[in-house]
Parts: sequence; structure tokens; C-alpha cells
Amino acid sequence: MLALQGVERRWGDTLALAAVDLAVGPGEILGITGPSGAGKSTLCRIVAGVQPPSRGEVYLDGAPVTAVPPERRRVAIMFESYALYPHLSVFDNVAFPLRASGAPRLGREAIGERVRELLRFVELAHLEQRRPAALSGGQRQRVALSRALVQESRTYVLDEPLSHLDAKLRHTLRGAIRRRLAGGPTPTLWTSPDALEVLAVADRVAVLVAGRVRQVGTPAEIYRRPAHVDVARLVGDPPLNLLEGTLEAGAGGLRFRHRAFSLPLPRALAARVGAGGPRDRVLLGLRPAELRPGSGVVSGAAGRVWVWEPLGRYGILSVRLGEDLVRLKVERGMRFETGEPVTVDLDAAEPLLFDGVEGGAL
Amino acid sequence: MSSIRIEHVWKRYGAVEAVRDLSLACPDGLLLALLGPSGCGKTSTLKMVAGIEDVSGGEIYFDERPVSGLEAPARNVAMVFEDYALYPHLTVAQNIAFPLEIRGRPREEIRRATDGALALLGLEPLRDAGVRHLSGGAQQRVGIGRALVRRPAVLLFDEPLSHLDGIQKSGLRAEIKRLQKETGVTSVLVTHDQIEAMAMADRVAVMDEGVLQQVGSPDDLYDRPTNLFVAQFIGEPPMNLLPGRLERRGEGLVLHAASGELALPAPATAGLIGRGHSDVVVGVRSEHLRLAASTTSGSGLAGAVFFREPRGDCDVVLVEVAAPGGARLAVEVEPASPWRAGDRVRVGVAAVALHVFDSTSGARI
Repeated sequence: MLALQGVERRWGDTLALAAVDLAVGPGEILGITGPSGAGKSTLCRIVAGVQPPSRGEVYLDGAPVTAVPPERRRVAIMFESYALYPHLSVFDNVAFPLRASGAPRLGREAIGERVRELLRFVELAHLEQRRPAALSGGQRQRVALSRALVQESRTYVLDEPLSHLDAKLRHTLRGAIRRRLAGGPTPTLWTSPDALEVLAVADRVAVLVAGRVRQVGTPAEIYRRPAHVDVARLVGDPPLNLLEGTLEAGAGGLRFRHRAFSLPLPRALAARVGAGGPRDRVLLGLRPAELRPGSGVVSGAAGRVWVWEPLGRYGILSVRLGEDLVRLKVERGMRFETGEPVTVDLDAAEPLLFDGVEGGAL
Repeated sequence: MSSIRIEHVWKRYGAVEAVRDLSLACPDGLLLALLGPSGCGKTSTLKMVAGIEDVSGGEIYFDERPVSGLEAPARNVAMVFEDYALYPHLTVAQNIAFPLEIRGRPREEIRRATDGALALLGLEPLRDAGVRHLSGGAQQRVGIGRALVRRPAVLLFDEPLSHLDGIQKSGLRAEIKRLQKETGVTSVLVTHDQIEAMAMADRVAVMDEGVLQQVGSPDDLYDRPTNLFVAQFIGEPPMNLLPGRLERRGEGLVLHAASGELALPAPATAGLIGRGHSDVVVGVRSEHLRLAASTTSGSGLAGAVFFREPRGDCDVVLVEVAAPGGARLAVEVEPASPWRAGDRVRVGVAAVALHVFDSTSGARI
């Protein structure tokens, strides 16, 4: 069990991490995503103990470890920069933590067996005698990953473990690592700037923006109910559409009014935000896959095709609505020309609403 | 603006044949993507179109004019680079105006052209900003403005999005496509990313080891890949491939694969029946496979769910087929469907498009 309580990190006046509280259970993978500079690597380094927090406490199995030096924490970290030993072979790099003082004593054969099992796992068995300089970036990244996973540690910290691999290998390794870690005794932190990656592998995901945790939840919760516009901007493929407008009370209840259209709010959503009454600044969130080209019966918005991107399985249609650009994820078999008029059918949309100033979900 | 025609072009570096007998055309006003893994010859081809590299054989035409004898400056091409290659000490507007300044164009023309490019790219608020501190996406927009400002006959994009993160990448991807449509400049894009090529190009040329594999619209490549290389390169997750032998059964065909028997629905295989193909590779995209709970007598390939990947609008389930030598198959499912890692399942094929390839040549049958 890994826990962080009120963990904060300052660099002079800059707040790199603000009061982070997180807990990761045995065998659980907690994904951490956010744009670059959000504090993901700082968080990893604090858990591993290579950097102290300015305030707050890190707990492993219930005991505070903030004062425990990294070599005695038994946290296996894979650094984003790999940090391989250039003078050692691939095999010796991976074996290094098993031979370090303080590690449980293992015989030569047991070490060889463990190291080779990991190298097979990351598909590098044929390169065990190479030096890091003779490897590609993606191969070095897999050596660093093996060196972290070879250890029996109290927490695995994987900082962008797959970012330099090609699409196919990344896809295979995601599943393989998840299978290896899930249900075991050890908690794992897994970071990536690619929200899709952590949503694919993690049991729960924390979204970090400018040092603050904006939301922690299961992948489904993050997809379906983003708690903040900062989260909404990062998740989805393409991400949620966000349109600024006002909330008005009308005959049929509350309506969202945009310069290009007006949308009656579904009853449940209206009831939730109704207490506040009309508002003059909100953001409407519309999922690209829930919008259709063609006029809606209940509500539609007239605009022009900005660009059409066919992607095989589906296509992305960007439509100019007033000042805004709305993206639709459209089933295949359609074609659109830049500039042609098109109506966005909003009937199937399950809209989300965010406060226009603070950004929180309503 | 010009059309581009590449005819029987070769590029040799010593004994290495980087481009082999390439013939390819880009009609006036369209965007052609050169797509392939590193070393496939796409960048050498772009450099030969630009005039940075000589052709070792063959000819390149802009409209009907052969250009292989012309130096780069005489071809009127402009280039957008992977790393932006801006002048760090100049402002946004000065960077864009630069190609006109060095050509000594009149003040008034430079001002008008620069203003036009700034407006087209939405860069007016940044016109006097230094370029050093701009985001990668904004820097690349300046790079595009600088390329467009002198109205080139041909615009060349060399991996223009590789240094951008996800959201900036998809935003600029759409913006480049819109700009290309709006200005109508004949363009060539080099990329290793199939999503970029599909999204932006009117025609996509897939290359491997110096050889053109297929050229067509994005839908052509997705629906009718001409060989196994294209089939695997286009689409995400990659197409599932099952090697085996085909045999007729009733109205349809059955594939005998190492991992079991798979019935292929009649409409999809109509053209194959009776043609006597034995050793084949059947390709099925993840959205054309179906999962059912495993029963002892069910049809389809038996296996277990290895991993389920949530993707928001749909999920992808990886199934490990039980038989020895069994493949891992990617199957698209609804987010609401129940499958979990470890579930025993059977994988079947929906009655839609299948892809069948000759197992020796890799060519589509």
C-alpha cells in the first residue's frame, strides 16, 4: 500500500505540486496523466525518495518513509530519462538492483533466471550483451523498464514507460505489463502525458494539471464524468467539445444558449444545476461521438465544414459554429468538402456543463 | 501551382537503393502523403522533389516541365520542417516576411503578403512576439506562414507534427489540411504516422524499402489494402492476420488456421469460392470480429480475454487464442459489454469485408 498525504513541492515561489493526497492499493495500478510540466515526474521522484517534498508525507504499508533514503525504501523507479549505466551491458544493467547491497541475496543462477525472464518479456533477449550506446531509444526504454520490474519492491514507479516505443509494441506491452502487475501484492504508479494510455492500463487515474489533482477516478468515471474542464480537455479521442454560452430559464426548463444554437438541458442535468438558476457564463461539453451531421429533431446547429479527416474506421468532421470549432466523430462512408454548409444534430448528445469561471463540473 | 509527376525515379546512395523505380503523381491543388517506416524512401523522394537531392534515374515533372536539371531555388518550392527551423532572434512577422525580404520585394508587397499570412494562420495577436517562447504548435504555424508567403508552386511538409504533443498535434493536423484546401497549393507530406497521412491527404502513397506499395485515397487503403504490408500499416489497432488454408463448406468458406477453424460468412467470400486458393492469410479488422461466451460446441476460435483496453467511445479486447501457436486477436466491443480479463470466449467473424492475401507473395487475392 502506497499513500501520499498533503504532499507539496515548491521551487522558490513556484508550486510544482499542491497538497496531493493519493492512495494506491496492493496490485492496483494508479495512472497519472497531465500535460508536460504538470508535476508527474516530481511526484514520482518524491515517492522514490530521490527528491524530498517541501511538505507532506509518503507512506509505504502504513509507515511514514519521507525520511527514509531512496536506497532503503525498496521502491523500484523507472526514470523517464532511463538513467542506464553506459559501461554495463543490457544484462548487467537489469541485474544491477538484484546485486546491490541491501537487496535480498540471490545466487548467480537465480539472478540470471530473473533477468532473462524480464528481457524475454520486453522482447530484448537477443541483445543482453549490448551496451546502451548501441541501442535505439525504444530499446533503452525497455531496458529501463526491465530494471524496474526485475525488483521485488514495495512500489513500482513507472514514469512514461512506453513513450518511445512504436505503436505496435506499445500496444502489446501495455497489456503484458498490466497482466504482470494486476492482482499482485505491489502498488504501481504509471505516468503518461497520453491520457489514452493510462486510461487503457490503470485501475484508477489521477489527472494532474499545474501541480493540482483535478480528478481521481476509474477510467469510466474520467471518460463519462470529467470533474473539471482541465480533465475534459485531456481525455477522449478527439477530446470533448467545449462551447461557451449562457444558461437561460425558458418554457421547457433550462436551456443552454450559444451564439449559433440553443439546447434544452436534459431533466437530470437541469435539476442538478437548476438551483443556481440562470448563469451568464458556462461551458457546454459535447462528446464528438454523440454528435451527428444532419438536422436534429430537438436541436441542431447550423455551421460550415471546416475540415474533414477520414481515418478509416471513422472520420473527424470539424464544423465552424460561430466562433467555435466543434468536432464530430462520424461513422465511415461519408464525405464532406471544406466550406459546405452542415447542420450538427445534437439530439443524441448527453451534454455536460462546467462553470465558465472556475471550470468545475456542474 | 503545379501538378507533380514522378516517373520511374531511382535514388542510389552507393550500393544502397533508397528509391526504386518510383512512379507517382499528385494532381494540381491536392495533397499527396508519402507514408512508411523509417528507411522506406519517403524522405529521399521529398528531397528529390525539392531539388535538395539529385535523381539517380528517371524524371520529375512540375506540370509538363522536367525539373531534375533545375536547382532548388529555380523550382519555386517551399518547405515546412520537422524542427520548424525559425530564426530565433526575429519576431513572428519578421520570420514570415523573411523569404520576401531576401528577394528584395517592394515594402508594400511584403507588408500585404505578411499580413495575409498572419491572418490566415490566426497569428495576428502574436505578430511582434519573439518566436523562441512560443508553443511548438505556434512555432510550426509560423513555419507554415513563412512557406506560404511567397506563393510557392509546390509546398513540401517534412514530418511537420512529430515534435508536438497529442492535442497540439491533432489541432495543427486539421489546420494544415484546411489551409491546404483554402489556398489550393499542391502539397507533399512526408510522415511515418498513418493517422496523419489518412487525416490530411487526398492521396496516400505507402512505401516500404524504396518501393511503392499502394497509392490511393484514405478509404481505398483502409478498405482494399493491396498487400500484407499495407494491411498491417493502415489502421489502429493493426489488422488481425490469420494464416491458414481455405476450404469450401456449404455456401461459404472455412479457414483452417493453426488456432482452429473459422467460418467465413458467404457474402464476404463470394469472389473467392472455387478459385482454389489454399495457403492464405485472412485479415480481419477489429471492428469486424465478434465475441461470444465460450461453450464447448460453439463456433469460432476459442480463447481467453488477455486484456481489455478502455478507449472511451469503444473498447478493444485482446483475446489470446487457446490453441498452440494461437494468435492474439484485437476485437472492438461496446463499452457496456461485459468482457473481463480471464473470460473464456469464442471469436467469430461478422458478415462484412474480409481481406485475403496470398501467403507467399503477400498480395491481395
